[in-house]
Amino acid sequence: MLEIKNLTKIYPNGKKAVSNLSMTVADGDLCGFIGKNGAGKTTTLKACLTIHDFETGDILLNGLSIKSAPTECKRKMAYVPDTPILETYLTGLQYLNFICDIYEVPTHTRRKRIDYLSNCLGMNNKLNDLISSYSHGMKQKISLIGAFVHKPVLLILDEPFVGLDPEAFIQLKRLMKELCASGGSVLFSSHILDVVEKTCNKIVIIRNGKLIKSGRTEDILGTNDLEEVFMELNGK
Amino acid sequence: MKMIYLLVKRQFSEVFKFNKIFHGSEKEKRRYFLIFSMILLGIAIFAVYWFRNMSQISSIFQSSQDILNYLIKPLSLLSMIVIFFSALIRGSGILYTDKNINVYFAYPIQTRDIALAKLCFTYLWGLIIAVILLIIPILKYEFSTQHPLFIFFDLFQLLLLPAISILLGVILGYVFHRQMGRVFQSGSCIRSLLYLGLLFCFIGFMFFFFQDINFNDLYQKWFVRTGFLNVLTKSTFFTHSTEAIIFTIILFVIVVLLAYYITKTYKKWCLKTQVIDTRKKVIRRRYQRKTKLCSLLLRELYRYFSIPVYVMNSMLGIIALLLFTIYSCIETENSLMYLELFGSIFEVKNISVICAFVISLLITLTNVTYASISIEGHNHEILKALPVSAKEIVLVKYLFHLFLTVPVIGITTIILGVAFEMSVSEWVLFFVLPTVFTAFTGMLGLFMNLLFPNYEWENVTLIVKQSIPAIFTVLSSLFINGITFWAVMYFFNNSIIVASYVLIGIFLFLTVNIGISLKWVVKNL
Repeated sequence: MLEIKNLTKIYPNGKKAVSNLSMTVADGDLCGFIGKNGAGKTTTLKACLTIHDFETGDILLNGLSIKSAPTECKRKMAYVPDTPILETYLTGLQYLNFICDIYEVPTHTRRKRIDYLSNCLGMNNKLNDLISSYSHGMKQKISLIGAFVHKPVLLILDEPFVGLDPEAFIQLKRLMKELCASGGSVLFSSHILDVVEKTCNKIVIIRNGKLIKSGRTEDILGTNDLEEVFMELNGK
Repeated sequence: MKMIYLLVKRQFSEVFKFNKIFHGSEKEKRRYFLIFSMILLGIAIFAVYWFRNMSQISSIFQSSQDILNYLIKPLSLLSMIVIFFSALIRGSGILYTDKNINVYFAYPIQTRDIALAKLCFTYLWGLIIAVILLIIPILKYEFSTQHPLFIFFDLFQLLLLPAISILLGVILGYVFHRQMGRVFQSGSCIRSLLYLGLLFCFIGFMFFFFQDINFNDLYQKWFVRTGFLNVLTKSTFFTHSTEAIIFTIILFVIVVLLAYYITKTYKKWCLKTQVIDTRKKVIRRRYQRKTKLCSLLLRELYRYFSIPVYVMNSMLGIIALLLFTIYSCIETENSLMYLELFGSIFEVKNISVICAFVISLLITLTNVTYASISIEGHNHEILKALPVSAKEIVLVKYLFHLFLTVPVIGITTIILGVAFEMSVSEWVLFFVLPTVFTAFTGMLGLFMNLLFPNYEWENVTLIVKQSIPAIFTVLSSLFINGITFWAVMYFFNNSIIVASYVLIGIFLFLTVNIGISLKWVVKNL
């Protein structure tokens, strides 16, 4: 379970990106994190992985604080950024082997998982090519394989559907649901409200770094769709 | 013309990053202001020094014919060669490997204008080289000649000179890029190894053969007496004759035709450079598990050899050391003589210590740690998201530096120990001293890079050559090492072995202390 408690992040230029944010992602939750551009979604996600420090508050993963035990927490987490930043000088397989080494995935397990995931996402024939030769979508797929391969307890994705072909799009939704069904949880940000509405069992909406709505999907939607709810909450 | 002007202006803005001073963040504004100030100061000092020397050299020659034969013609040929190679390596890259070129093709701009703008930009650079080399001799020549009106014709030739070199360089550069691109795609380290090989050959040539070259004989043989080049030098390059006028017109026509050819083939060639051949053969997949440390080290190794600039800048010390070793094996007597000569200045007779100092100074030129933190770039956020502690990351960077330098020290000291017939006790000092120095400089570089990290670079050259950690680490390492060696040899020449071991102890102590103080700067990771 991920608990974010009173998180506040202020950048060096004085901008308050996140202000007193508190939210929870329980085991089995597939949580959609939505907000306008510059609302503080990416900052919050990065804070969960200690990419950014934060001024006040704490982030706990299964009761363990990310501040006091960052490496232990990160062993159970995986992250895919909005722009796939990868080691372009490696092949896809070398990169995945590197990730598996970091997360200490045994050899026979990694072989099975890499084969399975690369088949799912259509990267099977590309693993021996250099990442520098990949398109944006292919880099995104490799990032996703790297995130799923070690079966994280919490998967954090920043706009994961950008650049994916329709088949990979469907497969990613299936993989996310599979992870949640096996006891893990997924927290992802997206601008595709339709996907969030249909896929997630929990939704968190933020604006200007502050939480404005959070809860189960059916409770948030009521009789409206997510687009209407989102526009209403943003004052439009 | 307006479109070409706009595109050239954009190119300048991209290369020289003027916008960073006016529109960047406060930190960027300060950094780029400092960089530009230093560059302008350097250019000003160089300009004063260069033009003063050129004036003095030009004034040695009294007759216009002497100026033409001994100054203008050789400098013209030199400028053409330099501009040609510059266009071959850099110019073709500017034209054919622009990452944004597809966006420009999508704009309502004629392809001809895009190509001409890039050629103009490259040409301006070549023109600067030609002007720097030739303007003073040409002006001196014009004042001493009896045909002062020819100055306009000579200045026209000065404008034409870089054009032909650039156009030929760009065309050949594209062909080279296409051919080598297929080789480089199969493994990004091949390019680095190739450049390393070229660097090794160049330094070896300069070290072993350069002093034996008689340039006057070479110039006379190849440029003055040879048929075609004799015609070239007789008929062009500022001779005030009818032949020169005809030849210049022909040259002008060739320039126009080449420029036309480049603009006509530009789009096709740009698109060809973007096509990447994917592998056809099946390669066996390896899933071998490695430890975290080993995996991170391997990652450092792959990344290091995939960046030619990084390799070229940091391998200088190792190449110099290897060449010194080869020379000492081939010319042992000469090598010993030079070392004894050097030792005699300080009244030091122990050759092994002097040799150890020389190796330590040479290996100081190889240092990868001053850029190893910044080189992560935007990737450092991904690294931070992994279950890898900052301590492990820093350790791996440091171990990689030692992994590059210590084996080379070991091998070269064994070979030199055999060549110079050293005893075991001498060899111990011979090995330990450079190893401790490389450990010290590596730790210093790491500390500086953690103190001044830069993850926002767009061009890796910035952090490898032009960053504060790079400049400070290299200069201070050389200075500290040089001054300590001088001090030991000057003040302790009678007990140099003992003094050397004390020096080892001091530098080990410094290394450990810098290592401990890393904990205060590692938060910048």
